[in-house]
Amino acid sequence: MANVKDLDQRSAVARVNSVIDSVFAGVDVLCELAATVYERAAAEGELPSAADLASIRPAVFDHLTRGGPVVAGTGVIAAPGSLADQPRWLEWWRIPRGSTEPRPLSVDLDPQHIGGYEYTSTPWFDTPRRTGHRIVLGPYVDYAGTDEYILTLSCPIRRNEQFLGVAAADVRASDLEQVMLGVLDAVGPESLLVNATGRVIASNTPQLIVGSLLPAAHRTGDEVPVGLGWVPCEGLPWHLVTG
Amino acid sequence: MSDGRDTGPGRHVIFAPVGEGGRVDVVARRISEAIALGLITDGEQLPSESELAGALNVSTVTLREALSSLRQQGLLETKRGRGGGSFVRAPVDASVGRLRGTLRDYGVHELREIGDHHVAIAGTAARLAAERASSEHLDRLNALIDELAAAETVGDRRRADGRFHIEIAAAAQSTRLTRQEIDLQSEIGELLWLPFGEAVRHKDVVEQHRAILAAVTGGDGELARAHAEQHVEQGIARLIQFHLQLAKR
Repeated sequence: MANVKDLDQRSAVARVNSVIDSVFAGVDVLCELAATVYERAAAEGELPSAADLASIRPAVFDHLTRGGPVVAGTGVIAAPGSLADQPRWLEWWRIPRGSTEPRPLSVDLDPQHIGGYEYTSTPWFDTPRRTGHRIVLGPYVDYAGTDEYILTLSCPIRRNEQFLGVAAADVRASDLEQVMLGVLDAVGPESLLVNATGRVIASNTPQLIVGSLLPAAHRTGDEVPVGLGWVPCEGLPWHLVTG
Repeated sequence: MSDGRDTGPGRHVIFAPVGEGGRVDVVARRISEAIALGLITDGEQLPSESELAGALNVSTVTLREALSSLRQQGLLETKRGRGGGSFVRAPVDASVGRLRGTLRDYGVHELREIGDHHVAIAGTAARLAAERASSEHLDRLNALIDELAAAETVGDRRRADGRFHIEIAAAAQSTRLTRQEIDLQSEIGELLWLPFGEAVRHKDVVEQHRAILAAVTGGDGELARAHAEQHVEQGIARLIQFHLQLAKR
């Protein structure tokens, strides 16, 4: 029976990877398109305008409506000073819950305001800026932006060595869980997907639900805790945990 | 007090004896609050040092130190010689007048309602954060306390204070609590950090935030809740006190 279980675990991990890969594929497209916008402007010796950046909008809509069942919002966030006419800028669209129409995300971009969108200090902006690598974050409460409980997949936009912003996508934690429930059930009656900090991303048991932390002793996959099966999700800082 | 403008019950409180051993900062704060609340107005002369020290029941040395700190804040000006003394220099900031009006217009009941609501939200958020905060949250909360401790202006203090509470709710992994915390902060944050009349002492707020965070870090939800509730209640109690001083005038 161990083989069957192995197989189920592998197919669960494969499902996680395919969902995340398809979201990143859409993000990569936006990343390249945005880099092209900057490239074109640079060829003229200029910075692009917010309107220039809006030329990527068809691809944003495409990703939003055809990027699979889990993309709740996507777009490009400009690094401060990278656009000619706006100090900070989001070309970001989302599909509000219960709707099918893409809407622009309207946020308070004044960093002086309480609840203002200080996006430059958010990990999904700051980490790709510092490391040059893409990142998967969450689930977390996105209080200044979408007001939802989400995961963010984010990718740096670079031209030569310069960081110009990020292309990213939001996934609602509940949507991700929905697409994972079937494969989690196949793995076992108490199966979890957890992130690097030991926070539950998706779960099929009421004992440990999304957003909760595994008990401290069980938070790292480095040391496999007794009685728990930990399977790494390749390419992601996540683990599949089975009771 | 000889100018005849000192008869309101609100003013009576200002020049009542101070407790807490008559410390310098207590005296300075009492007077600066009165200026912030408009209980003593721009250009008004304070009673003589000996008269004031007597009314507040502090030594003249303590009083002088307090007046000197108020001078440094630009709230008092001292003129020497005949007709000299300490004169109030009320801040001209337009927001002070607006906030004063808001605080006066609130009823005690409304302030208590806001307090009850905030106690429920902040207390629960702190309890849940103790269960659910990751080390990244704890780091951010710690940084926000340091930011608050270092903040010099009321605006910076209000932002760092508000952000701490909002981040606690976010660490609790609750979008609803976070949204409510944001609404509550925008409702009372400015009042709590009234320029020159901070409802809760800056260093006390820093200490209280540290106590909340220590309980959250230790995973002690009930203690975190207790600290958070006490912290919020204290601020509201002071706002009610301010309101009464303004309303009685």
